Amino acid sequence: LLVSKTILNEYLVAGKEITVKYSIFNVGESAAMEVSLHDDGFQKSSYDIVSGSTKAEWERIAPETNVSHIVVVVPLTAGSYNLSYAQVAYKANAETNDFQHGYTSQVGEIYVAQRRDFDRLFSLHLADWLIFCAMTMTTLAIPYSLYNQSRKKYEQQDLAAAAQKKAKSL
Amino acid sequence: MGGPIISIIQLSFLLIVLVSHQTHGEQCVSPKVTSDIYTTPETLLSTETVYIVEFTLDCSNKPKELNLYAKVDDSFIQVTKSLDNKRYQLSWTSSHSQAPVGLITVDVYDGETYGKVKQAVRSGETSEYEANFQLEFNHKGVWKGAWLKSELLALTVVGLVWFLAYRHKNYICS
Repeated sequence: LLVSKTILNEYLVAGKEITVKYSIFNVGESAAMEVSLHDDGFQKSSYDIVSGSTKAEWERIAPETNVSHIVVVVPLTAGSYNLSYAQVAYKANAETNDFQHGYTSQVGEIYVAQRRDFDRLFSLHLADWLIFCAMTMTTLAIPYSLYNQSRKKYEQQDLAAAAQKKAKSL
Repeated sequence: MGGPIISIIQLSFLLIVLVSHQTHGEQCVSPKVTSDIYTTPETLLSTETVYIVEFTLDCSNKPKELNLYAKVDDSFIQVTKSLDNKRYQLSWTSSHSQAPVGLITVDVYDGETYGKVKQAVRSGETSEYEANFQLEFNHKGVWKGAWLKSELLALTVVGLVWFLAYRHKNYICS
């Protein structure tokens, strides 16, 4: 059996899901029996498991076929993590009672970024823009209201003068 | 005269039944399913859309070793068992552009029915065997990011305010 462990994420962020995919390929000529996969790399102190199980079992994997298993975890804090290999055990064929043990490939050291760094790049910044608009409103609204007041005053004076002129002509 | 011949036939039939059970597992009668679903919510969290269905299965005949196979995209996927055999997990991936959205129904077969379906497919017949049960869930689709960036919207508003002010200034000065 060839077993790989990969991460499907483009970005690794604290508090956001990491998708881990295990793929098992039977490249042999006989079916692998009682295959079990066990990954102890996600401790409760560092990760929350959102979906999937870190322990899985298949009764039989036929020759030249593959199966996959997915787990979704959330790292609780930012920083460096070491995603090591998971363990695999299986019987090479139906006749034997001996289990063979192996390991998946390992992802190695990963760096989980802070949530604020991720948000700086990808969030909508709506709150930031609303605050900015509120701040710029003072530099726009005050001159505009002053202009508006003087304009109305001028228009009222203009109307009054026009009315007087009309009354005189009559 | 017919006694030994009949007993040989019965023995052969019994062996065939036992072998087929050994190959693909037992049968599940009157299945009751409770499930938890996870699907990828946004593209930044995964390069592919992931579907995970974890479920517990209660069969009235209480089989000891039950192998399940799910039909996804016209191919069969073996359902994973937890090590205590109480919980099953069906998981698969699909590219974001081709991932199905909305109500998704997955047919699940126990080992015996799966064996019959595979035999029918191998002999070129149309499989008439129904799934033992179905898993249904809803996938809303993945969020690919805002279609309008907030910076672009802010720039548009600023441009509009400037244009109105400039036009009004020209009107006053004319």
